Amino acid sequence: MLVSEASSSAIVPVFMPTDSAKESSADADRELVRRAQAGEMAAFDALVVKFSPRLYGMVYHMTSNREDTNDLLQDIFAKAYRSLPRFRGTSSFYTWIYAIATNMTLNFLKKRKRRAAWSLDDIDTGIQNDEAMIDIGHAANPRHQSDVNELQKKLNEAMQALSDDHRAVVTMFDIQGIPHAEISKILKVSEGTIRSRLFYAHQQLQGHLEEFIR
Amino acid sequence: MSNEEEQIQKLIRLKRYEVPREGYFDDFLEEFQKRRDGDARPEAAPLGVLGKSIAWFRSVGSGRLVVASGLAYAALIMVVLMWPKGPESRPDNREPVIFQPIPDQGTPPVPRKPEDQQEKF
Repeated sequence: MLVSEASSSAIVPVFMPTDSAKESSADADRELVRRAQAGEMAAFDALVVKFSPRLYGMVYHMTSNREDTNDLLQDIFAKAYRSLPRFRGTSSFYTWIYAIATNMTLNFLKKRKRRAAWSLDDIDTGIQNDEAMIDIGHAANPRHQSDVNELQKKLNEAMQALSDDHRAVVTMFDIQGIPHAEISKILKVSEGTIRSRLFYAHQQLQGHLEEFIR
Repeated sequence: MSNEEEQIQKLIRLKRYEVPREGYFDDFLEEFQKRRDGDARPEAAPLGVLGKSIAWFRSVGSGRLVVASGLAYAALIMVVLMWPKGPESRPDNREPVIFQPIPDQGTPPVPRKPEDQQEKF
């Protein structure tokens, strides 16, 4: 029911820059990194402004909790700032900071699982009240809105049912639109492994979201 | 790619609309700058060590600290029990001394005094 409406909507990818845009963006990043390494704090602030929305998405979809996301994101940028003198530029700044973010998030999730007090109740309801999401399917229709809420809840549950490694690739590829090759560099695993993880994750998601794809 | 897989991807993409409240990233940058300035303040250095220790203990968690303390205590007791004591308590590894009669190797006879001979007769 919902998927047909979702597929007909124009969904703008969060991360799908063209090759030339990517290159000029990488050049701009290199310059900002050079200035930040020279001690110019404003240059690092510019990197925070540029990358915090993307990293927020990655961390949030991995943790499904806004408070945890905020704290973790602060720690990620603090670590990147401290480690910046050691950044040699062998990879792009984008790959480097994404790798820091992914490792810290996966470590955080391991610790969180060990915490007895944490439960699924701590997962945010996310976009239930997000106007953009509700607009996708005519908010005027109350039945449709309840469908959106139901879908959103199921989406979060399905994502949380995935293993951390599978959730990471689904987040980066399906939600953030990062290509396989880039994910492979970030996670330091082969592209084949990324494709295989995606395949199994999609199969698992199909089981959880069956009612929405009929 | 199967039709079902494509549909799953389309559904998952809907999560792109989950964004934080407006103004969140401005506040985020401000919070980050405050934190960075706090870390960089020179007079905060001695307290920084204490602060880092406290933060480390907090991050470790009480359960793990109890286990670690227990293990450390057990290790200490083992060291105390196995620590070598003073020389009197050490086991005697020396060869036992065996006293044996010295074989007679022909000691020269003691000359008798002439008075002794006289007394005999």
